[in-house]
Amino acid sequence: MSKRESSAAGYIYDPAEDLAFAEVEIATTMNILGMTPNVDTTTIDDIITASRAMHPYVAMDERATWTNTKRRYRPAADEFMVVESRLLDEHLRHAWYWRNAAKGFQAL
Amino acid sequence: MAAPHFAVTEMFKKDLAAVNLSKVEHEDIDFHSNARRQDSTSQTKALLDTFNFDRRAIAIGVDPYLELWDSYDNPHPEWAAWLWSHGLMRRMMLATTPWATMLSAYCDPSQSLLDHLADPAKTVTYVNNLDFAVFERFIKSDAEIDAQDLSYSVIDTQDVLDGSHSGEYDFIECSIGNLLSPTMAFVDGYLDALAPGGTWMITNTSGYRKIYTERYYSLHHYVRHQKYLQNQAGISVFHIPIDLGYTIIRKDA
Repeated sequence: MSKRESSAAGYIYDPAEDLAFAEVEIATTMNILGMTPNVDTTTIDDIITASRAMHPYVAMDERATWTNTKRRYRPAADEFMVVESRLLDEHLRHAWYWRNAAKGFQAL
Repeated sequence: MAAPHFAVTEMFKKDLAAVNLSKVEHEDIDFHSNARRQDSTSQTKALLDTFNFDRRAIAIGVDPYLELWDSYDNPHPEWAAWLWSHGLMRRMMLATTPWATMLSAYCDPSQSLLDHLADPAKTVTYVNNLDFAVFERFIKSDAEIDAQDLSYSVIDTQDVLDGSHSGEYDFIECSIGNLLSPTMAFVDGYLDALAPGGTWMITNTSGYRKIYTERYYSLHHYVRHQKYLQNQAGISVFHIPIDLGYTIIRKDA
């Protein structure tokens, strides 16, 4: 869509475009996770659950024992998984939030 | 009700110095707890609450961005001073960087930026997102602001990604949150939109200071975007570790 100029006539924010963008981002995330990218019939629970399945790591507070409680650290493979999953999940949660917001503005 | 008690932190004291030792235009109305800001944030929160966002942990994690309007609406007593350094840094960049065309991915009720919207020598373009929707509905609608002849335009986020505005903007501002993705598509998009010789300011590149406090900074997921930027040809990258962290990119002329 081309650039829109401000005017006294009203808002130039376009919730339909914002919604379309958010849904493409969510669908892309679902594709990455091997899910069928049907945004309308999924839930964020489904997507986060799929992300957790793709990025298995043990959370810091779930480790039963530590060899050195003053210097707690994850194995390198777990750290890699954490970074990968955070990049995916944070953007997904934002896109989910933006989708709901755009739908809200669209309904006004 | 008794006045709230809070600890006077080093950051609070530092930011008080930023307030008290600076001389800038609109200081009184840009201070981050003024009535105008409180009005706009309260109105925004009230509207967003009607959208019934999913607030469960699985839906929002522990992400401050997804609770931003609640924080704005019910600010901690330190909030105003705490944000001052952030506001001041942004205003410094806007005031000292020579620019004529700007792309902004977030909107803020800063009078210094609104001045630029009223300046015929400056062109300000926003990205079509939630921040922009809020700006139009609850900031621009303020009677005193709306009385000015403000001019701006908007492009869609997809336009940033597909290169529709390649090399068009000599100043770009966004938050690291605008760049998040499993890929580097947004970094590439904004960098492409930056004109040769232009400046790009990314805020919150510390991830709410997490990069400075994690056991190893390189383990924070925001570092990946910045390392990617470092590897791009034809730009200089300056990570400024103040408050929430700023990364300033200068594209070679």
